Order: sequence, then C-alpha cells, then structure tokens
Amino acid sequence: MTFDQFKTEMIGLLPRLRRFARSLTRSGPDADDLLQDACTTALQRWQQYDPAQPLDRWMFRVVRNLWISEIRKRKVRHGEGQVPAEEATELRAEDTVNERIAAQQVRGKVEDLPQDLSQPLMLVCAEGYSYREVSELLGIPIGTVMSRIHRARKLLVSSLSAPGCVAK
Amino acid sequence: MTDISLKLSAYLDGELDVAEAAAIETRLAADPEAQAELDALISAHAAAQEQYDAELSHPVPLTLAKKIKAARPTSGPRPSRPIWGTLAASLVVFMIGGVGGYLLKDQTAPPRTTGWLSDIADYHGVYASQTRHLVEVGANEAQHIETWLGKTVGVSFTIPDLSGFDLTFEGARLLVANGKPVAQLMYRQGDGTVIALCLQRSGAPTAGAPTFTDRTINNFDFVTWSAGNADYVVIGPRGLPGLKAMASEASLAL
Repeated sequence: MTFDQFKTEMIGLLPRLRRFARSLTRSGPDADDLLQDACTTALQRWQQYDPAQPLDRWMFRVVRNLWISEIRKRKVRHGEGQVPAEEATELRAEDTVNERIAAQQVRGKVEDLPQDLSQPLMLVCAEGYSYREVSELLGIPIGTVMSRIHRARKLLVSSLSAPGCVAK
Repeated sequence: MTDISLKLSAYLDGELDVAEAAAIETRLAADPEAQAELDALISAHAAAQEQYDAELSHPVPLTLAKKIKAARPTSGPRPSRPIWGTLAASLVVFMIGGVGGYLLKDQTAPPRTTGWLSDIADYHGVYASQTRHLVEVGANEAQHIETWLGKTVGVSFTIPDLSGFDLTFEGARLLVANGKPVAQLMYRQGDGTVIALCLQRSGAPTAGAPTFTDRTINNFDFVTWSAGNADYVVIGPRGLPGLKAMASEASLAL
C-alpha cells in the first residue's frame, strides 16, 4: 500500500472514526480533537501499519489508545495521579451504573446510554465487531463485553417502553 | 440479569456455539416469555443501529480531510517530535496556505479550477465509501432534488439517466466547493462503484459544444466540461473505463 492509498482509505474512514471517537468522548468537540490527533499519529506511523490487517481496526486502536492517554493526562492535571486505564472512571463500567435511574435518562437514545455500555454496543451493532474483537480493542474480558451489550439493550428496551420516550 | 436473558443477547449477535444456539431455539419455541424478550432485544438493537448509522450522515470536517491529503510520508517508523508539535507546525502551514492561496493544494493539482475539483475529490473520498448514507436526499425524490439543488446552485438541470452505463441514480447531496454551492448527483454501478456528477454555477457563460478534459486528482479520475452557465465534472475511481462517455451522455441530458 502506498502512502497515497493509505491517506485515501483514511479519508474514507473519517465518518466511522468520528463516530467511534464520539462514543469514547461523549462530546463533539472532544471527538473532533481526538480524531485529529489520531489521524496525525496514524500518518506519522503509517509504516507500522500491516496492510494485511483491516485499516479500520488499526485506526480504531490508535483512537482508543490516544483517548486512554488523554484520560491519564486529565487525571494527573486534576491531581489524581497516574491511574491505570482500566480504573479510569471514563472507561470503567461494571457495577457503576444505577440501571433503574439510567433507564429514565436514556429515553430510547443511544447517546444517553452510559459510555461504558454504549461503546461495546456501537462496535457490535454498528461496526459488526465480534465480542472477541471488542474485548481485544477495549481491553476487557469477553464476559464483560457480553454483559455490557446486554445491559445496554435492556436499558433501551426499558426506556423505549417508558412513557414520554422521545427516541426517533 | 438471568442467564437465559444474557444468552438471548449473545444469540442475537451470533455469539453462541451451535449447541447453545440450538438450545436457545428450543427454548424459544416453548417459552413465549423468552420469545417476547428476544423480540424486545431485537427492537432495541434495530433502534440502536438506526441511531448509530445516522451519526455517519454528519459532515466530516473538510479541513481534516485536506490535512490528510496534504500530509507527506515520514521516513522513520516513529516520530521524534511530539504530536502537538507536529500539529502546531501543520496549523502554521495551513495558515500560510490560506493566506497564500492554497499553496499546498497547488502542489497536487493543476492550477485551473483546482479549488472546486480538489474539494470535490475530498468529498468523494469521504462519501463514496458510504453504503446506507451515500446521499442526503434519495432518488425517490428526484423532482425535489432538481428543484432544490437547481435553485440553490443557480443552475437548472435534469437528472441524467445513465442506466446505459450500469449506473443507478441513488440521490444527491448539497456540497460547498471553492466557497460556492455544488449539486452532487450520486450513481452506483452494479458492483458498488460510486460515480458522482457535480455541477456548479460558472463565473462566465460558455457557448458552443462542450470540450471534455480528463485529469486525475487524489486517486480519482475526473472529466470536466463547461456549458451554459455551469461547470460540470464526472468523478470516479482512478482507471475506471468509460468515464468520458458517461460525461458525454450526461452533458446531452443535462
């Protein structure tokens, strides 16, 4: 793959990369910053990319790793010291969600789902990832992937059937 | 959360092995409650998929696409300079480019009408890979597309029938290129190849038979021509045969 082909493929991936960045950051401006950083990093490291592997998977990993670094920097800036990624609040999910309250807030919208539930759901539902691929990308056990996706769907089911649901 | 409930979700995603899937199907046949739960999960899945897909319709920052296109390959495997330093440097380059008349774009494309064609190449790179969200307005609203884009762009046109080239009209988008509105008509071939026909109001009217010009920008082939009060371009993947014939056919219909 030439550098020009690499760039052309990357440009074609931008809508999906931004969607993934939004699922991580939950903020449009943060997602655009993250996307720009990821593209810059990928362009610098393009020789490390193995063309035998799908570019989208490689790019998602770049986006994810940069976001983990950003979270760590924010923790340090806020005086919380170095925090392992798996302990970072933004990346931690298990047992942190009060699902009864969350269901009232979700309103049938995926953007209202807790980030830790929405992220694996998006990768499976929209990107067609297997549970194993999600597990590898997000660095969480397959069982956790399964339970988070299920919990995300159950929240959507509860909120879709709730009065006043504004989905769609 | 029950084990069967969790397994229904995994079943929906095709994550169970053959024996587990068969057990679930047996259970579903005998247990209306389990079937109702699966139906609810399918509804939630469909709602989520629709919302995630809708996010792909949001316009991608064109400046980022331009930065990627203008990037030069690094010689080493890893940069010695921090990302933010490189970003700052690239910002300076683009500020200079903006002030100096798109210097970076001029390095990769011919000078005449570079602006609009370069922008079209960027848009095509982004949108041609879309499947469900290829267009803003679908082909079923062809008449609306002609009225809406004709009025917005300032060029009356009829959507050409290019079915003789195995091209199906999929719909249209409104773009902005070189600071002016552009109508982008999207066609797809049987093998999925996307061809776009774009038109923009020209600075000065053109009389006589059109002259078709080939060029290649950013790995896409272009055929351009001017007629009446508009500039036109047909764009497709590099090396696609018959692009000029498509342009010629389109020029007769427009």
